[in-house]
Amino acid sequence: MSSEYAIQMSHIDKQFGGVYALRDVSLNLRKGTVLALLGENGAGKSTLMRILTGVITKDGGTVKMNGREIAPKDYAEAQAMGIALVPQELDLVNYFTVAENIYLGREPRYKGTNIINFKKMYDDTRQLLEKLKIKLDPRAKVKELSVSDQQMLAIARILSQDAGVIIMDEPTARLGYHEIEELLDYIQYLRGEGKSIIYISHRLEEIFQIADDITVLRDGRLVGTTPAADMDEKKLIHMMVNRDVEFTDEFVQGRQIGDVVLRVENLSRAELVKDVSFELHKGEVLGFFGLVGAGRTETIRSMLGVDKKISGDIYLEGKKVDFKHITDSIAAGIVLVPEERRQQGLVLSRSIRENGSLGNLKKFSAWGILQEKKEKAVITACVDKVQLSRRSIEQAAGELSGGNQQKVVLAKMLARDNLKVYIFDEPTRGIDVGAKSEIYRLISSFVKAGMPSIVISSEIPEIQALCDRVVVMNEGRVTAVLNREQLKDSNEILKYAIS
Amino acid sequence: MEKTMKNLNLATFAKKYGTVVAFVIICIFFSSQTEVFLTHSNILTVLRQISMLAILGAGLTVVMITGRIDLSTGYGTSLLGIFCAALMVDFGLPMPMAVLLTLLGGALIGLFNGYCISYLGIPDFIGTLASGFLLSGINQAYTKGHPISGLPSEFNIFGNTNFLGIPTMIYIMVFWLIIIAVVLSKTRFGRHTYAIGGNKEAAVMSGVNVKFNSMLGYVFCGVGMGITALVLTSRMGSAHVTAGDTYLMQAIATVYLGGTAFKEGEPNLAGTILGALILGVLKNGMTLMNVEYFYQDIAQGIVILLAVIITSLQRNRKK
Repeated sequence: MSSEYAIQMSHIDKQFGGVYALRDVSLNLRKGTVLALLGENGAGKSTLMRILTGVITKDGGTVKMNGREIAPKDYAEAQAMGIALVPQELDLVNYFTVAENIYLGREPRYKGTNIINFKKMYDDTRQLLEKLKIKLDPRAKVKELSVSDQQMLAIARILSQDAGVIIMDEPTARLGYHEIEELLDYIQYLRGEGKSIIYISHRLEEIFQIADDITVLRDGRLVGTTPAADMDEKKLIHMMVNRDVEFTDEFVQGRQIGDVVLRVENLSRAELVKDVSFELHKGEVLGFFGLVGAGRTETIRSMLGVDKKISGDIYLEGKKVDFKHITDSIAAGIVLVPEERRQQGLVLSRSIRENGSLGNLKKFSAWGILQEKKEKAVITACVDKVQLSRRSIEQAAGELSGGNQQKVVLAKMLARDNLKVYIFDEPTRGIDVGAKSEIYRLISSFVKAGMPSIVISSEIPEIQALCDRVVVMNEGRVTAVLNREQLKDSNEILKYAIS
Repeated sequence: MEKTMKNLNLATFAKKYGTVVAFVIICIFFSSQTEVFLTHSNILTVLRQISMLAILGAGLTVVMITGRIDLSTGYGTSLLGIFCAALMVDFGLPMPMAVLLTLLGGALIGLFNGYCISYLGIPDFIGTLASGFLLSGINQAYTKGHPISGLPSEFNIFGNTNFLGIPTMIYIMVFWLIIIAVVLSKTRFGRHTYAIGGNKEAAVMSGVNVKFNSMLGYVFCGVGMGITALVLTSRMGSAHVTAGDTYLMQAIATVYLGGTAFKEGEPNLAGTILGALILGVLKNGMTLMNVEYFYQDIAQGIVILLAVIITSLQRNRKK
């Protein structure tokens, strides 16, 4: 019995504790195509995929593979059927080689023994990688690989197990522009080879580049499935959030740009930052754009004293400053909202209140003793300002959604006194489209109030939505500083980032 | 739906207070088996027996909240006991002076540990293991293995006298526990300690001086060693070379055991007190029932193992 579809999930229901996580959701993956699965955080994408891969069981509905009904009990069984997942957080063993990772748990052995035949393992890996057209050294250790090579390794591993249905969960979240292109090319190659792919991503540009069909979920229900050719960005965003999110001049209006607040001259760091100079004016947003490895975050980190700089002068409000440690730059009034909010921005196990005042406790204490009343009042006011939805400020930060966690980090910044510059590193990474524009609105409200800001971003639409000027970097050097008119042209920005 | 909510609450309750329930059950068991268990004097005996463990464990809790460990506490306690006795007996210092210097000595040991780990970047496990050997070596070199006796009679105040019918060492324990409780919950340092334990990198990026605060944690642990040494030496009437050594493993076990209560696998002071109580009551109850000492060790081992299993199960489920 053959079928047009590799996977048909029909009328899937799933409840958690009496609440529907999925209700009457259907998904059809045509053979040899790429299906993009979209939806805001909490829309039910991962629940649906966990059912498909056997991690959890469905309450109702049917799942068919090649026209035959299946019900994998666990992921191993799903994998045996040819369904495999490349998770967002790659599950590779850092100290093992490429080959050891591919054959992990099923290493080739000498006949009749339990001794690993390494020669065969490396030979097989070389052949496999050649066949798959993946350029990796079988003997390279995972920790020596770039993020994108690790991604390719994870893909090679599941392909080596003859996966016909491949699910990719946000595979480009950590990749730079160039690497994304390579990955998308490879996905297209896989499609040509007859693989069927479910592609989960927040990045709409990618989806239009590779998807054949698009399935959108919202609040655990199916919104619809359409051929990608019939869609455009506006329609798609509308389907996802059911409210229009426009990337226009809306966020940059009403700014009063004034004198130079921060000037950096010839900043260099041991690696990745070479001779970087820029100026930041009062009331403006200065963007930093570049591919991964361009040195944007590193520039900011060495400026703030997180990483050591070799040379360079920094002037804050005309006075020369030298930050030896991040506490120095914070004391001087420059605050960074870091890239990885779960790793660097928040203590997930502690409350919103404690996170809000972290690093700022001098304000809420006398002689080392905390004044919790004052703390509570100030932090409450700050989380109100960013319109944080919460049960209570005593709630653990880890319970919040990505967008709300970012708001806690913003509130923490607002709680500080005498700030002069805000820096946002990838402020909306991993945040769904609806919450994104809310974060933009907040940032632009801070700027309108006069606070000069730097936004580091890998997303051109984000730069275009927020920035008055953008510093484009490539391999540690500044290749261009574009003004508002120039940065409206995406090709222009990208040109300087690649050249 | 209502039923699932109820189950959920029961599960959270079990997670947070399961260890408390276990403690109550142990107490009920021993009071049903022996007549003296719940008497006034036996309760005081238990409290007296656990006081040194609780004092040492409380200091260690501060270090363990930050996700680090101190393996020098046993040898440190032994050395500080010898140090105090030597100051009084060999050097003829007045008792208050010797006591003060002992506490200071404890703080210095902590400072040394903390400096090596925070500022020199030595891994905590190997760093404090090494400093433990160092302390033990100094101890052996000075004493040649001989105990120091002939302590002044006023030194009895730390471990051998009563005040209002209650042993003074219980007051000392309560005093130290209150200090640690206030430090952890009401001070900037305490808040930083929890933040470092929860997410060190976020603490750094928020501008918390992680190195200094981590080092200060070891100082509290060191002062705890000093107090334990005073009580222990006074209690025994003389300073023995290895008197404190066995407290290391017990103190770590106490903090681990305490981590199973109230906070789902994270060290916390209330838990540490409960942990010390459980170990103390087990020992006391079994002694009252005339259980031989090696069976007592087996029972203690099982309880600690159970606690560690429960903690890892909780952590796995959290993921």
